[in-house]
Parts: sequence; structure tokens; C-alpha cells
Amino acid sequence: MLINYSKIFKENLFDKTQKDKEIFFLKNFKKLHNYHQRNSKEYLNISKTLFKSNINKIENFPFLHVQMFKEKNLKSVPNNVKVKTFNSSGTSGKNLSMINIDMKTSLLQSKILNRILLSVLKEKADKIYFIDSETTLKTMQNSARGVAILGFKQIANSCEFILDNNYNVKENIIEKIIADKKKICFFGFTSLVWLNFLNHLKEKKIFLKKTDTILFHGGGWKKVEENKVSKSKFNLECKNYIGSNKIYNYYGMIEQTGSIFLECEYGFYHPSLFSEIIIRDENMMPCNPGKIGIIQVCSLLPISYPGHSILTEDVGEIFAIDTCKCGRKGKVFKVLKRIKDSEVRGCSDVY
Amino acid sequence: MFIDKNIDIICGSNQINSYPHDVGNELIVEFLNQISKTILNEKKCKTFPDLASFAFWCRQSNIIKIKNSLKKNRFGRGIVLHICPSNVAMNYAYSLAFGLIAGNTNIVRLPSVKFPQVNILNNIIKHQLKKKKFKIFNKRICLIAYKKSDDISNKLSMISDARLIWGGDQTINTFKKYETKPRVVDLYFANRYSLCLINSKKFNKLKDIQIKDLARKFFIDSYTMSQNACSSPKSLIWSGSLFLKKKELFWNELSDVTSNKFDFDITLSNKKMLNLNRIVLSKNIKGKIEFKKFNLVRIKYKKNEIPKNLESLQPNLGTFFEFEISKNSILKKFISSRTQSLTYFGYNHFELLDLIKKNNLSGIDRIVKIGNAFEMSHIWDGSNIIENLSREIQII
Repeated sequence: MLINYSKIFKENLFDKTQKDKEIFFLKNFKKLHNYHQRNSKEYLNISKTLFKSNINKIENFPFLHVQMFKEKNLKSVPNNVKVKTFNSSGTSGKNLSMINIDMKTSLLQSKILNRILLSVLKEKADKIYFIDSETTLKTMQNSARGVAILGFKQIANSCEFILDNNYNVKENIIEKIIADKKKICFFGFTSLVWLNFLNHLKEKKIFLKKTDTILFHGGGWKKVEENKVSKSKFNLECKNYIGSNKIYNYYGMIEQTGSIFLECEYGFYHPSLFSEIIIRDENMMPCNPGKIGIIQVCSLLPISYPGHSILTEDVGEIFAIDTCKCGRKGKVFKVLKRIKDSEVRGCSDVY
Repeated sequence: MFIDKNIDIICGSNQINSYPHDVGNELIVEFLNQISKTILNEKKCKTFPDLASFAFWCRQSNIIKIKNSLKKNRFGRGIVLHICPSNVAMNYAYSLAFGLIAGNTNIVRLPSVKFPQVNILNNIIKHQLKKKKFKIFNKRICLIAYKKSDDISNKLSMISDARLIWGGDQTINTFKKYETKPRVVDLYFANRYSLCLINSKKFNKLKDIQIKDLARKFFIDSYTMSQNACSSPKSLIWSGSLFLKKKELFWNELSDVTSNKFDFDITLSNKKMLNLNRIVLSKNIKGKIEFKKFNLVRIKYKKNEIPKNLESLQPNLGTFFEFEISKNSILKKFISSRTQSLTYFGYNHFELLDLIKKNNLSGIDRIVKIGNAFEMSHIWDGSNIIENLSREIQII
């Protein structure tokens, strides 16, 4: 018996205390775990050889390393299901992830993303402005960015792209945004927001004065940090030039599209009802709050592929449980950095 | 002589020329001995056991011993190109010494990873090269660094009379494509796989303190260089019936030593988990994976159960396949031409040599006691490097 999603949809996303959340999550996650064991021999193999069989806590469930989605074609549905290949990174052409998504999983992903975003947007916007180019949808439809744009599209009645084919700010678009008096919101990858949009506004000394407008952004800080821009500077400049302090960053990955971790007003990420986070130490044991470790992400959404439990290459820390000032219950965490790349080699050098 | 602005000359000069001389020439022995002395007097060298081992190896008495073991009437070939591995700091030092002893001029590409001990040794060599009596070596030693470049590798290959390519497979295949002199002598050191064999009967008789000592030696063999070297044992094979209690004492001690001495953090842990995922998903692993702490992982197999193509699985960072076999003849199932070192306990080496003979094995080039897997020698992967880098002059 698979998860009864329609029943879960009726519940609030961030209301459960960690104790209640774990009871709820354990029950549903176990169903998903059993399903993937039956349908993915790779997941079954990993479970049987690397993990203990008695599972009574969320942290006992097996997980796959995120790289395996790049190296193996993992699926939990029959072979005739349509295969989609996703580019896991928003920028580079390398690192193709094979994520097999069927209609059911795809629908779930859109639905949950919508719910999570509406939890801060409250009601559907009239228009979403993408800090991106329309070509992204054409040439990079299966990239993390393409997928994100398609996902965010549904939170507004219409959409418009701010950047042209060369990723420069379009002519007249700024005037259009300023003149737009309806409910609008913005979405863009963090790097594009900074490099292609904010820099333009700064250069031209344009202040949009869009108080109360939400800016969603995600996809990682690497490129922004390369320009020596801290998160607080990013937020400050956004507030300055866009005019709103409602800036929501999110943590998510192509391997778990939909169940993103939205950052709250106080700068912390929160799992929703559909996801959970575990921080692991060097012995792969779960860390208590306050200890830095490797992030494992869990999601109730992946059905067509065994991506419900993934060990990432990100480092994070749980700061608190149930006590975030924003009022959301459950784990309160931050993503600190990527695991540094120290690919260990044999007796060889790179040529 | 060669000039290329993309080549950094780290030590020596590019004003080199082919100047073959006799193998084990006295000046070479003196030069190496001076280096040995300087290292051993250097305080910093104590922090680098690999540097100290090299110093010990290149002292006069040892080089003379090696020289005396070689065939007579040997001369250098000319210019030798050494392509060294990135992950073994001191490999380049031995490689250079082999080339010098064999009577050659040497162009050595240093490891791309920056090791402090490489820096220390290079400064010592630089200092020696300034001495009047060693001036000639400025024409015979050139230590270089350059970023991946077909152009440079090709140029260097064309002027070389011999090439030492320390691997791995990919680098070897790359270098095979370059143009070379028709008479070039190439020595390739491909990816290899090493095992450890323990005689259970003898092991059972060991006192606890001896078992602990063996575990500590096994730690050095396997955790040095994160179990990534060709000579790092990937599998541990117990031959004969074994006392469970004794066996667990060995693993417990190894676990303790590892926790104390091996710097294991979340970065390595993440890489290790990835590697285990790869191992499990690459084959239908029948072994049972067990670990108390993640810095020591055992993949245990049932008695006499041996997976096929074992050497294609590359456990690292403290991951061991563990087998029990009832008799030594089963060992042949583990051996292929990829098998390099067999570290052992509880045999005399004649028994092991006999095993290779009787079973016509295509692998095992080194038989070493547990604890000595990293001992470097001029005989490597089954070939005598110094003899290969020199020519024998026939006098009839």
C-alpha cells in the first residue's frame, strides 16, 4: 500500500512538532522504502549490504549517494516508462543525472512545490517575473534551471522573462515592472539574480520600490561567493534595489524536485511535511543539533526512482528543533558548504 | 636541452644532455650518500617517514649493495623521462635515483599534488648541485612541473631514450600515443591490486600482544595513502581454520589504531560511502558489509566463496574484503596479472614462491611481510628498473 497523498495534502506543512512529524514521516517513509525495495534492485542491494534491516527510526533508513544518480540509471518503474535526463547543475554541461520521472511523480512534485511556495506567497500571483532568459526553457529544459522555472510558473497566472537571449536585462522591462501594480513575484537562480539583474539595477541606479513583493532564489551561492558577495550583502542589496525584504532562498536538488527546503524569515531552512533532513558525522551516525556534518535529504515524493533518501555532498548543521522564531515546527537547519573535492586517486596523475 | 615557457624548472636545469656513464658510478654513490646524510640531519625530516625511508635507502652501503647485485659491464642509455604519480610524494625521488644509478640524464615530472617533503628534498638536491664536485649533475638532473599538455609530453617523449611511466592505466595509454625514438625503452607501471594472506594455524598460536603488533603493521600497509596505492592490500585472506576470538582481536586492534592514527573526517567519509555504493552496485556483492566505526569497513565472505573479477573492485579509505579459504591452492582464484604484492604472515617465502610455481600464476610480483608493503625497491612490478634503464656491453 503506497502513501495516501490526498490525505496528507489536507495537513499543514510546518505545523507538526518534531515528535509528531517523526511518527507521521516514519509511517509513510516506510511504505516508500518498501516500495523501492520491491521495485529497484539497486536500492534493495544497497539496503541489504550496507544497512541494518530493523528500521524503527527515520535515521535508520538506507540512502543512496547522490553521485549514483549520475552513474546509474536508477528506476522503480517498468522499463516502458518515459525517461527524462536532467542536468543536475544549473550552469555547467557536465554531471548528467539520470532521473526517471513518470507522470505520477511529476504531478506530485508540482503540487508540493506549489504548496510550499504558497505557504509564503499566500495566494497566487498575477505575474511571476523570471530573472532568466526564455532560451533557458528551450535549450535547457531538462536542466535544474529549466525544471525550476516550470515549477515556479504555476504560482502565478502569467509569466515574463527579464533577461534576453544574451542574459542581459531586456529593454523596457524595468519600466514594465515598475508600472505593474498587480501582485507580482520574482524568481531566479541566485547567480543570475546577482550578476545579471542586481548589478544592472545598481549600475543604472534603478530602485524598483516593490515593497511586499517576494523574490525566490536558489541554485547555490558558489558563483556569487566567487564575486566575494556574502549572503547578508546579497539580501541587503536586494532589499535596496528591489524594495522588498521578502527574499526567500531555498535548498533543493534535481534529485528531489518539488520538496524543496524553504528558508524562513530568520535565515534558516525548514523541512516541510514532505521532507526531512538528517545530518551525519564521519561514522555516518546522526548528529545532534549543533554538530556539523553531511546532509542527508529525505522526500516522500520520488516514486518512479529511488531518490527518496539521498546522501548529499553538502555540509550542514541543525540549529534547533521546533523553536524557530518564525513559528515553523520541526528541524531548523543551515547549509554551510560543499564537501571539498578531494577525489582520491590511485597511483596516477592527471594527464 | 629543451625550452618551453610552460615548463617550470623546479630543480636542476634544462641545459641537460645525453651523457651516459657506467652503472653505479662512484660519484653517483657519493652524491646520493650526501643527500641521505643531509636528510637525516634535517630536523624536519622526522615528521615525514617517507622522506626518512628514502634517506635510509640511498645511503652509500645500500646503493653499493644494489650495485653489486646487478649484472656487470652496464652503461646508461641517455635521457630518461620520468612521469611520477600525483599521490605518492617520494616516488619521484626513487625514480630519479634509479635513473642516476643506471647512468642516465633524467627529466622528472614532479607530482602535481604539493607535498612539503618534496620541497624539502628539492632544496637539499639544489644545495648539492651547487657543490663543485657535483657540478656535472646539473647536466643530468632536471625536475620539472607542467600542466597537462599533449604538446609538452610529446616533445619530452621525442628526446627520451627511456621512459618510466608510473601510471595509472590512463596515463600509460596517453603516453603510448606520443612519438618516440624507435629504440626507446619504456617501463610502464599499470594499475595493480594487492592482497594480504595470513596462515591461520600460525596466527592462532600468537599471543595477544603479537596479534596486536601484526594489526599495527597491517595498519601501516593499508592506511598509508588512504589504501589507494598499488601495494595497499585490498583483501585479507585467512587460510585454514581460525579462532574467532583471535581474529576479532586483530580487527579490534586495527580499529583502535585506525581511530588514533588515521585522520578520518566527513569529506573522506562521504567519498568512502560513494565508493561503497559503487562497489555494491557494480557487482552483485554477496559479502556482508560490517562496520562499527566507518573508518574500518569489512566486507565479509563465506568460507571459500570468492567473487569474480575481484580486482575490478577498488575498496579504499579502510575497506577490506575478508575471505576464509580452507587451503592455499584456492588462492589462485584471487590472482590475475593485475595482482602485485602479497603481504603475508606465517609462511616462509619459499612456500609462497612454490605456490606461484605450482599454480602457474600470472600475478604476484612481490612477496613481503605484513608491514613492509611500502618498502620501495629497484625491482618493481617484476622488472629490475636499473637494469632496464641501462644497456649491457657485450665483450667477446
